[in-house]
Amino acid sequence: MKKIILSSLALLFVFSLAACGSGASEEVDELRTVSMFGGTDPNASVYQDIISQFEADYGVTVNDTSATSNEIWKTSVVSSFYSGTEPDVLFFFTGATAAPFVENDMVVSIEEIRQEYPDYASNISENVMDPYAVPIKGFVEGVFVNTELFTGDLESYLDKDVWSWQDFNDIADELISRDIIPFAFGAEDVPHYWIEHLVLGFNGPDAFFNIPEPGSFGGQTATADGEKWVEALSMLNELADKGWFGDTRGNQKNEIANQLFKTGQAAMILDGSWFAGGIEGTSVDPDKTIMVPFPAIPESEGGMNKYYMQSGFTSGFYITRQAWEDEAKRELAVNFISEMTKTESIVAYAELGGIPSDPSAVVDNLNGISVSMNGMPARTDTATLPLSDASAAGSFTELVKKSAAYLEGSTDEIIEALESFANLN
Amino acid sequence: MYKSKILPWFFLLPILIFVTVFLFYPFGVNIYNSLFNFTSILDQNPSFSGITNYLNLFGDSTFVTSFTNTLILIALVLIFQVGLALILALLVSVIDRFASVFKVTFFLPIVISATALGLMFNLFYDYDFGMLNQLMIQLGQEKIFWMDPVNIIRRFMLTMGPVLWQYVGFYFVIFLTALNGISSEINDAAAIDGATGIQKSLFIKIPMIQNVTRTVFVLAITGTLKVFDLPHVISPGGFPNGELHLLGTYMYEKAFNSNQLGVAAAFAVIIAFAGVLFSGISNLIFKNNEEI
Repeated sequence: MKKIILSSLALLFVFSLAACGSGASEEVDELRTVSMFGGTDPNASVYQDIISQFEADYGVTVNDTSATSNEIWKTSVVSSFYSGTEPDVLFFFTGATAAPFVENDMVVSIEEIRQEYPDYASNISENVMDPYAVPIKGFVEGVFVNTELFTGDLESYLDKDVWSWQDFNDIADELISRDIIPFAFGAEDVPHYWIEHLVLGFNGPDAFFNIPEPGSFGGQTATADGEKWVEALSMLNELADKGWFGDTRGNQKNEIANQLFKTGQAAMILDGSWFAGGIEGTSVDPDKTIMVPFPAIPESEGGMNKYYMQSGFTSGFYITRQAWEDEAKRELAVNFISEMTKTESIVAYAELGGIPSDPSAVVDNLNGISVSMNGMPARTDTATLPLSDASAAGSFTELVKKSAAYLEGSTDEIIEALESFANLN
Repeated sequence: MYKSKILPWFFLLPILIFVTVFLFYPFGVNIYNSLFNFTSILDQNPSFSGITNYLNLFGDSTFVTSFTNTLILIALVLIFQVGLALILALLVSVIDRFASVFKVTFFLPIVISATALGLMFNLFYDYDFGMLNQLMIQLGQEKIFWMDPVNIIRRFMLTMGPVLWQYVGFYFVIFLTALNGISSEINDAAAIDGATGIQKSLFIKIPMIQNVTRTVFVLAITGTLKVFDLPHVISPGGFPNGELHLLGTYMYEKAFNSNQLGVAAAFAVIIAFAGVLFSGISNLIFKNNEEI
């Protein structure tokens, strides 16, 4: 009896190992995809609808594991290339975030794909095309304004295309006198936009690509350029003292800051075009919301009456090398991306906010905020990539983690943060 | 029990292989990686840096802060979390009615996701929409900025408080099981001798569960070294300025935000060795009583 039990267990063990091995073989009628259109992302429904249609049209199964983007998700996607479990197609960031797999030739360039499929992504504007990724839409960043709170003396500002730094100061003073928070700001977890726009407003767009050397920010080796960066970040303290960010001085979570704007307790919020998708259904009317560009700050290198915009096409569809070299997968991957990036699909994505990457994509019935965002390029002097994308991977965190010090006006900690940032660039 | 010595090994071997492949081997690789500088997770040729990652960490003021905060949290856990669990277990062990209600109530926070708990406490503390300030307004009082980063001690306590509260039930169950294992004859004999409830707790029950308390201390210390989720949700990035970082949250920042994988690997080694060291110290102080 004992021998029978032992033999059975041994067989079970062997079969379970064999089962593990046999699981490695892949079906050719399945495509594995990953994107950041997961969770509550407003684009998720469009993305899933296109997947369903693709499955029906091509008779294949799309095994999609999309998730909301955060640092762990980004790392898990990049590390999947290390373990050989990368998807066939991914919708992912471009630039420094994608550099690990791009530099290791683990994704296929658009040029290489077009040698075999000359019409691949031909509807996408070449001006916004990444060498490896096909974008669907771009973003703009600026100040979202709830115009319903701009009554009385503030109404006249709504006739202007842009607001100068002095205008913003006057508007903030008036709002504070009415017990309205001028800017909703979540410095605890998302101080990014304010850090970037103050540096941009103070130093001009060239500063993002000419980050001062370590040692430039303070002490005897300080330079004029370096000191401008310190001044820019110190301004957060000045603005908090004036009451721009309410009683908490911005020391709160971004989720709460968003709620302050969406409930009409704060009049403005500095964010990207993706924020527009979340306005619908709140007490703020998307048709009565506009976006205005962040101005240059007077007395600065940025110059008077200049308006800058952080924008770009910083994400897109990639085909992995592994999928490309599997001939059965190659065409499926190309077809999948073609479906995702055809004009009709891009219109569907752009209806949710953002600048379409396809010039022939015409979005009808845009709401007020979308029209305003689309008009941003015409109202700005220069567009630039965000500092977080322009700087080395992982370095922007050094600036983000000291946000409380900027609000407190601690010059030593500002210099320390800038030194750490510059050291990694 | 078994005539053959092969059968137990047959069942033990898979788990031994599993632990070797998924714990010992990765830990060995992690120690190796801690001696290199990686430019990214896909860096095929990381540069050898020796013990530089360790030296950089010990010279990093935020690491020192995170280490100090973790030590403070360990002390708070041992005093308040384990202490409260023991008191609650002693009380529940002597009641006859509704004991199950208390058991479930105290244990419930453990089964709730720490992230969900963190979000819940955020909603308690928030200045504009929080429950505590709604209560203050109802009472005709001014709103309080509970999480004011300037008042760092209050913010520390409000961040770590939920950590202490969540796992009281875990140690409570362990203590209660141990207390229920004490022979009723000993309790009866003490009662006949005229011992009061407090005397029975102090001189009979607590000494008799000494070995369990020793294990609880080791679990509490090693568990606290790994605390991550609740503080990460309540004070993200150790806000303000990394002053509320714990070892777990700062290691996450190094690995996933700063992209310093070699430093993060060194961090993991330090946490593991700190766990072994502190557990050893605890075991030295609270020796095993073989007479129980």
